[in-house]
Amino acid sequence: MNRLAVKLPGLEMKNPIMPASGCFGFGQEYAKFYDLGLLGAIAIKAATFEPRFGNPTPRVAETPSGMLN
Amino acid sequence: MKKAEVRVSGQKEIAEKIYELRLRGDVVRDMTDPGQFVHLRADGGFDTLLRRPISIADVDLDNEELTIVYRAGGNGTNNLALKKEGDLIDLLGPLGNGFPIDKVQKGGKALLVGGGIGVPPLYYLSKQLTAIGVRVQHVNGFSSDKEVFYEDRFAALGDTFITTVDGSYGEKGFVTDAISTHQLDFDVLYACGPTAMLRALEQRFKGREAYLSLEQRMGCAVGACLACVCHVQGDETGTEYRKVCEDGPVFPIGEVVL
Repeated sequence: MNRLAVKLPGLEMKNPIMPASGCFGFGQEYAKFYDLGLLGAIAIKAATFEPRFGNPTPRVAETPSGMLN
Repeated sequence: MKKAEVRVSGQKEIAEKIYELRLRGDVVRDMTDPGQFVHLRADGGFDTLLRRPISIADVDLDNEELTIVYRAGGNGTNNLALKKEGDLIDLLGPLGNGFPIDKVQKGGKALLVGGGIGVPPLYYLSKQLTAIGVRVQHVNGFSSDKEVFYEDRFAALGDTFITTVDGSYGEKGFVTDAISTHQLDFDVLYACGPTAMLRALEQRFKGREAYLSLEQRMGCAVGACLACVCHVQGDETGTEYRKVCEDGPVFPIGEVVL
């Protein structure tokens, strides 16, 4: 029995580890460091139909225990 | 790139709020390319969660010792300035694409131009260039005499001109003034410093063989969070970008928008 498994409406994950989307690129960036299959799920950065540069820089700010991205 | 704990072998203030920090660890053996950087946890807590990216100033490969030079100005770097010999620091590195040293031949001339806290990575570059027989000249600009550092070290490698904006040390003015005054020329130019300085150099030397090291606020430093992007010159759509952490921090002159 997988005691780490999580069942959410419409989403079942083998464990509750899911990186915050703004920090995780589009999936392939961290794949070069470890097997993404170990994670329960991934959330990619916002994607748009047409290419966009996004907000002007600087566009990251540190907060206690986190960051605005 | 590796994640490693390195041990502080020494730290001292070498100019006003400018610190030289020496770190030892196996990971230093990978730091062979000048112009790369390391990404450091400033402390073990969560108030300064993000790592701080700092350029590599010097490397002693035999003793596995890395030297970085940084300005203590915010929470993270102020915490770093408190580190003492024996303390451990969590490091990611080396990161980024550094200065290409294969662009100038033995006997050729390299001009290294640094501004303020952009000066340190040019020291490791200069050592590597002189080791392969390149003639180096340095122009390092600072705001005032209080911030000048490493003059002797650069002078030991080649002609070194120091400028200060207020004229309190060296020549009064900007690095571009010194380049004009001394009619300095080069086969390859390498530069690192404030954006205004890089823009001035680009205006003057675009089309020449030159490489600029950019600085940008970073999050992950491994190309995932897209915090450190810059526009590409000539891109009419305005949607193309380069990541300073992964595509840079060094770019050929004229490639990215400064």
